[in-house]
Amino acid sequence: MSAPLLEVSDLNAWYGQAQALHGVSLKVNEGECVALIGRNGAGKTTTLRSIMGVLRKKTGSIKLRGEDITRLDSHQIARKGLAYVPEERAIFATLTVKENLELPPVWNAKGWSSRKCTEAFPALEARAEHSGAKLSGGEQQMLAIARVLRAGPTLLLLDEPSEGLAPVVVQQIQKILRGLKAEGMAMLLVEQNLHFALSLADRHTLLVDGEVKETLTTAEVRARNRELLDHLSV
Amino acid sequence: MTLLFIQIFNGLVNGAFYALLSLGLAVIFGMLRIVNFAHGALYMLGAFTAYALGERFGLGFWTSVVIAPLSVGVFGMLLERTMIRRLYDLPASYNLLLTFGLTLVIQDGVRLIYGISGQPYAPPPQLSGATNLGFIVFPTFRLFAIVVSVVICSLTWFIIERTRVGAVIRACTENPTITRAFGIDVSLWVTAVFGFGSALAGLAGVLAAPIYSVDPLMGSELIITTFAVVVIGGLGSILGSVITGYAVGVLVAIGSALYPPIANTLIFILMALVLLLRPSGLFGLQEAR
Repeated sequence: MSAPLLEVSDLNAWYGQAQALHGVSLKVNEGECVALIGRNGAGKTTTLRSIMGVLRKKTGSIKLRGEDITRLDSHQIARKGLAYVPEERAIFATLTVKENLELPPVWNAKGWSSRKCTEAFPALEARAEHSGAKLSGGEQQMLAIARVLRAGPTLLLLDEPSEGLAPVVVQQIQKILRGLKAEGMAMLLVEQNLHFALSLADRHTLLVDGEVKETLTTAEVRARNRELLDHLSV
Repeated sequence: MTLLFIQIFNGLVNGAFYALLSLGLAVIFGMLRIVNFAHGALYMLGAFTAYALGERFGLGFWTSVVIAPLSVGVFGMLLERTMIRRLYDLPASYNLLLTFGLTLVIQDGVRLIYGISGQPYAPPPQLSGATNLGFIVFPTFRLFAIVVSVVICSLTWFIIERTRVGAVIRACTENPTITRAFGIDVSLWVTAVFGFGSALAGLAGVLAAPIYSVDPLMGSELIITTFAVVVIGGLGSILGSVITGYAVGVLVAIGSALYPPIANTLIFILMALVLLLRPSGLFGLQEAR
């Protein structure tokens, strides 16, 4: 049996002296979407930041297709095929929309062309020469997702893609992500919106106080919806 | 009227050096958040490299104007890689101390070899003499220095504001963590930008060599004014540094014609006014889109 696309084992991470993750282990297989669920402060974002190499103070093991990437720098991890869409979207205010979109180097021939990006997110084309700072929240999220797709990643790390967006925009983002999943894109999704997570994820890992409490299938999450909502409330 | 034009052109010559030096400082500060006190020493190294290339290898100005800035740029990259990058996570006072210390070491190193007195450096034969502009006659080499400075400053602005290379530099400046997460090796860009800023200082030094005498303290005298220019223009502002560089050069030149004792003080009066009325500098906010 081949190695999982991403395998995280016994991951511990710290912010200064404060330990935020305690032995987190999880797997994402090829083409699979795994959702990290849990309340604020449970360690979901920290898990993504640790995997991406943004958070350096960590122990444990992170493997991509069996290759250890734990100690690699963030830029080296990106070149291995991981793409990170952070919670705050991190659109560069000093760059135009077009410059933001074309910033990441293309590491893989599968990467979307600028044209494909603007076809998927038509709102971006009209705003191409505007500063990234002048976009609405929804447009920023579209740009944040389109931007990483240009590089041709094999695994998307998405942090709260639906947060703060109007329902119509959430549906649009959901549709795009479903399309990507149908094309075989693997995702590790952090999401407070359980309905959004249920519509995309194959498995759900519940984090409580920096530890994995359990991993559930979508059917199990639906069956225990009410109980899980207690874990997700702020 | 002719005297006024001559003073304006003299001011533009000084402004050409202020602009090149403050542009280098602004590029470095914009990305690294480091105030490089060694910039004046790098300017002096540019002039001395040109002088040494002529004295030891018989190389003329045209070769030196290429080799010296490149050498100073490489030297700057070595400084960044071996010393300056160790201080990024420490308080600003550490880099001030380091770069000030480096200035002293570089200056004393050059003094050990060439002594304290100024060395002459002749302009190339093609640029010696004077040019009649119609309204004034002005030394050709000085006109050349103004033109080179304007071209290099415009080119640098264009690269940073209008090209993909510039977009990467702006992204590294704004959010290095996320830029890294896109697969861009920010540390390499930081080194390259430091090298480029240093090369600009080196170029200013080579251009200054035929105009002023080449001496180990030439940078420390100029750098104080250059820092004032950077503060007036807006710390880290490319456009602000360049425009203020030329404007301050002209202001001082006209000031010295009208009332010589106050000429140099004018810069610092202007700096104090800007700090009081617009602490981010004349172009500090306008440039942020």
